[in-house]
Amino acid sequence: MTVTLCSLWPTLINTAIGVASIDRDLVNVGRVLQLSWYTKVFKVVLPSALPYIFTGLRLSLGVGWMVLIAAEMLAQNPGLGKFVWDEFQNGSSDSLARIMVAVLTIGIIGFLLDRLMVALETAVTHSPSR
Amino acid sequence: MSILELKNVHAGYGSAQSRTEVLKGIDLRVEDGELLAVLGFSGTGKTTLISLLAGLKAPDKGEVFFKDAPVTGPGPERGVAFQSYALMPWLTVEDNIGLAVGAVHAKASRAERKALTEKYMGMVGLTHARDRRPAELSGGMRQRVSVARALAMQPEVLLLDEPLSALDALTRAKLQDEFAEIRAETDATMVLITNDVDEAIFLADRIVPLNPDGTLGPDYRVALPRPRNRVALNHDETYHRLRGDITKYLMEAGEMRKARVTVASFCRMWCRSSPSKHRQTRRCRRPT
Ligand SMILES: Nc1ncnc2c1ncn2[C@@H]1O[C@H](COP(=O)(O)OP(=O)(O)O)[C@@H](O)[C@H]1O
Ligand SMILES: [Mg+2]
Repeated sequence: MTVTLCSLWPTLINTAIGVASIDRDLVNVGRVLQLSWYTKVFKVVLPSALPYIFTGLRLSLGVGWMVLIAAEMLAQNPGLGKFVWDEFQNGSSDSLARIMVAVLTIGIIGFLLDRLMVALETAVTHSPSR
Repeated sequence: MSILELKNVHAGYGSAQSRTEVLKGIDLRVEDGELLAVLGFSGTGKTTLISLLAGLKAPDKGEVFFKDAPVTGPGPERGVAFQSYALMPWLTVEDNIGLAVGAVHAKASRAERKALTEKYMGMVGLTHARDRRPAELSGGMRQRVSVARALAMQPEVLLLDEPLSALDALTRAKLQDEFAEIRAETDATMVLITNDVDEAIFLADRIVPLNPDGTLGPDYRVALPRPRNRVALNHDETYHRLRGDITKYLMEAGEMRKARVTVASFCRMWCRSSPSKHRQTRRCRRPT
């Protein structure tokens, strides 16, 4: 719940910006053609706003992942966050090494999630360089 | 009968303080079936004029009529080819044209729509590039897609906003020939915006210059037989006289603009030299 709330905003704001920044001439084409609502949304608005939406999603994912770990630390749900917290409290000689491993794992998983999102983005959206 | 008519139309952008009047008191009748060329320097308001005719922009004063009915908004019966091409970057050539076919001929069967798309794609010679996206096309090809899309609406009036201005001279001449052919094939009324006197004379039935101050100049009828041949025109007496007249008119209109700019810069200098008065004399910035 907290995670969703925290990570919603980047997507929301970017979607709004994406929709607002559609090329005026493309909108005019839609007006001249008197496109139906459905065609306008799926052939003009969405494709044009998708890169923005995906940027928003990537930001959201990053924030969401961070908040998730933090929430685990505080709420003591089983997971990587709790593991780090426990090791920190434990204070034995090799807990620092364990924390390092966990932190690295958290980073790598975050990075992989981001790459996954990029892969999805290139698969779904149009990009001028393609 | 006039198919499009502008009656004492004024148009501008911005509000109150930062307002610029672009067109002032335009009276224009586009006759049914003619090819009217509007000729003007860049920044004189040609695109604004097209937006008014298309119904994309409402005039501040005056009225626009399409077949004697007031224009309230855009519609496919007035097809537009935009100056910036305005192609959907995520759609292929075929889909860009198909979008217009689908919207305008929504009741046609799938096969009929496909046939229409094929027809207009063929008319502009792009059948071989059907699966390419705009980013993979040359400027001339994009222009052709944009024209094909406008043609595919099967409009009663075709509004062409500087369709060839962004192209190199050779491609331009080639597309002008293609335009003349398309013109012979379809009998839609056309309004062609251009900044090239030769292009206007080569293609148009009538030429109206748009002055830099936002008013229209006098009519020039182009009484040259069709099909017109570029090479033969070079030796044509009528052509040379017309070309001379129009060029002279445009140059004089341009001179007037320059004179006004000089007055404006003088006024600005004066404003700057008397800072105490500066606030009260903001009007100085726009002497016209
Ligand atoms: N959307 C706009 N907002 C403010 N000013 C505009 C806008 N569009 C055009 N103008 C101004 O109106 C004038 C005429 O523009 P335009 O009609 O595009 O000229 P043209 O097509 O002849 O080059 C220009 O000075 C331009 O700066
Ligand atoms: Mg223009």
